[in-house]
Amino acid sequence: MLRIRSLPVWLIAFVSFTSLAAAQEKVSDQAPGGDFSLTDHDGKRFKLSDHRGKVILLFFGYTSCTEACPIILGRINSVFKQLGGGADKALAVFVSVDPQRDTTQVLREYVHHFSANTVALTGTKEEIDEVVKQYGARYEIEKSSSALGYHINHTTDIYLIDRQGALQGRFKHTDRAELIAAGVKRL
Amino acid sequence: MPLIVKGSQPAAPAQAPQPRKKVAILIFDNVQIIDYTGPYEVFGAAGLDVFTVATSTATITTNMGMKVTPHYALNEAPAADVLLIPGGGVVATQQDPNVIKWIQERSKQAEYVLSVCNGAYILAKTGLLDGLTATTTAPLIDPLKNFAPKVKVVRDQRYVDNGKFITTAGLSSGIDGAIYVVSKMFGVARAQLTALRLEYDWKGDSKYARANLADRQLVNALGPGVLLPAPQGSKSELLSTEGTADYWEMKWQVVGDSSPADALKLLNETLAAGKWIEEGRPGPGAIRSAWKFKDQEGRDWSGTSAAQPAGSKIVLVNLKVERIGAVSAKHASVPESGAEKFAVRDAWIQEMPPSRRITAAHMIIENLAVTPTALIGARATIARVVELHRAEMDDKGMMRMHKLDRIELPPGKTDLTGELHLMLIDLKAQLKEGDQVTLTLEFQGGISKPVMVPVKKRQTE
Repeated sequence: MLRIRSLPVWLIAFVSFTSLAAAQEKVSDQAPGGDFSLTDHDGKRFKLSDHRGKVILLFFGYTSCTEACPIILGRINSVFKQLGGGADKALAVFVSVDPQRDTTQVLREYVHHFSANTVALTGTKEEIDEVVKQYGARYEIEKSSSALGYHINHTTDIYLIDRQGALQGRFKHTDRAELIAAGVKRL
Repeated sequence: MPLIVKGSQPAAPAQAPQPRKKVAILIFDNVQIIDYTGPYEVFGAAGLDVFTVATSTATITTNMGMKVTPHYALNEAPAADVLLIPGGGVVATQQDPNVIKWIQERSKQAEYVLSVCNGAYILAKTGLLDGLTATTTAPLIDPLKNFAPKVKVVRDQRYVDNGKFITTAGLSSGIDGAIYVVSKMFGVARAQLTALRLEYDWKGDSKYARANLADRQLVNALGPGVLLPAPQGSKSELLSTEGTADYWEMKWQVVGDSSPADALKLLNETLAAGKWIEEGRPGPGAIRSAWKFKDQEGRDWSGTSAAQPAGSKIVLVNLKVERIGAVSAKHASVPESGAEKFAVRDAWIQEMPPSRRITAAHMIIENLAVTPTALIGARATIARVVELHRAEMDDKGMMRMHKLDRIELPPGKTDLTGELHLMLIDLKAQLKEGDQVTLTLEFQGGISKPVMVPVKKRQTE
């Protein structure tokens, strides 16, 4: 995950540059994306299609995650900084796959702590599973001997959805903010 | 058979030698000699190029009269990797806008900025310490809190590391701070070799904090001179003063015609005036009293004052204090056996939102021994449980978490800043950027090592 840190700076720059075009990996036809409706961190209904006109960065995770999820949210924050004045034309959407622990209050605090322009969503397990399936993400709950009780293993891709709500591709959570911002700007 | 086979030459050209790192030391009239010469010696011995910088190249006079010619005037000084701000008579310097601006500008390119003693006041004046944790020389710690209200001032460390900005306590602390910077720049080995070359007994930690020693409890009660009041016609003389952060003992002799009870009476009156509460004495005229009192931080202490005759016309008086609840107060400075086999660097704990009662701690652990060992656990009073975890991306793109029973530590460095990390679970208080957490690492073989870990916000690019 953080292996990229140990690469020399010039190599990171090189990778980012050459993979700019190829970065947005096409997603499979089995996971076409599309509209969905969940509950946002203020307890209001959130419907993706209500946000047409904005580029959406969608990702899945949970707030007991101390590694991948804070990195994703921090990166989203950097993406918005890079977008500057164009930030209001994009929105980050964090879908929690841990409805048992992630209440709306917990989600509200979490996104406000780590990132701007981000809405966190929850719902019933069935509602969440449907969105996960729609976008080809995956997660599994694993019982653990940890004092946390259970871990959630999850995919960490960031999905790029255009202004008309169509899924355009996905980024890895280790991709640099410049790369993601460039993807947002092109739509 | 030819000794050199053609084609065996190295394919790549030899690596260009690394340019030597540079240290700029600010000096000024009334600068404290040891504050800048101690670190000068350390950085020089460690192989860095060191030079002094002042407002002009005119000779300056240090605070004990030594005269020094600076290498460069402010604007002519070359760029430096380390910027050192010593203390001494700093008021004129901290009020000089050219110096303040110079520090602000030069800090941008510097890898490390180190203040020694009340050089912290100059550095604080630049605003660069705002929001950071810092220390300074013992008597100026409390005034620094007023001088720089945005700085978190601590008294229990010899040097405080915020990453780039490091502040040390007073005077000789600069030597430890400089060796520590060498260890950050080049690794523990280079720091150890430097200390050996200097014949310096380097402890490799930040524990000796003058400002935190328990003698301040006696200073509070007896005044800065810690004088024993002597009965009329007698004279008192200090024989010894020693202790730790949680224990202190002072001994005096009173020479003259006074009895032990007389000698003790005056001391006891002074202590009672200093808000100590006498808990009891064996009887009237007794020459031993038990005391208790609270310190400035509200912690409870016990004390004993006693006197005894020692030959004709000499009375020995002794005064001891011990913090109640301190673990082995008298021996707090005894080193943990085996802990010196490990060095911990770049440690930080992630600030999390208030309702998240968990967080991660990251660090690099260096096993300084030649044999492999393992980290088998950790504990912190702030968390109910500390676990060893691995976050790992599997071949299906899924981020998986595992709790580990141990993390192998081969000789050399092991990176616990990402995949491997420590999890603090069920935090008893919210941790905010700027807080310091004591985390005790437990290694195979019953070795434990406490480390101070700062809480920081995660920086993501």
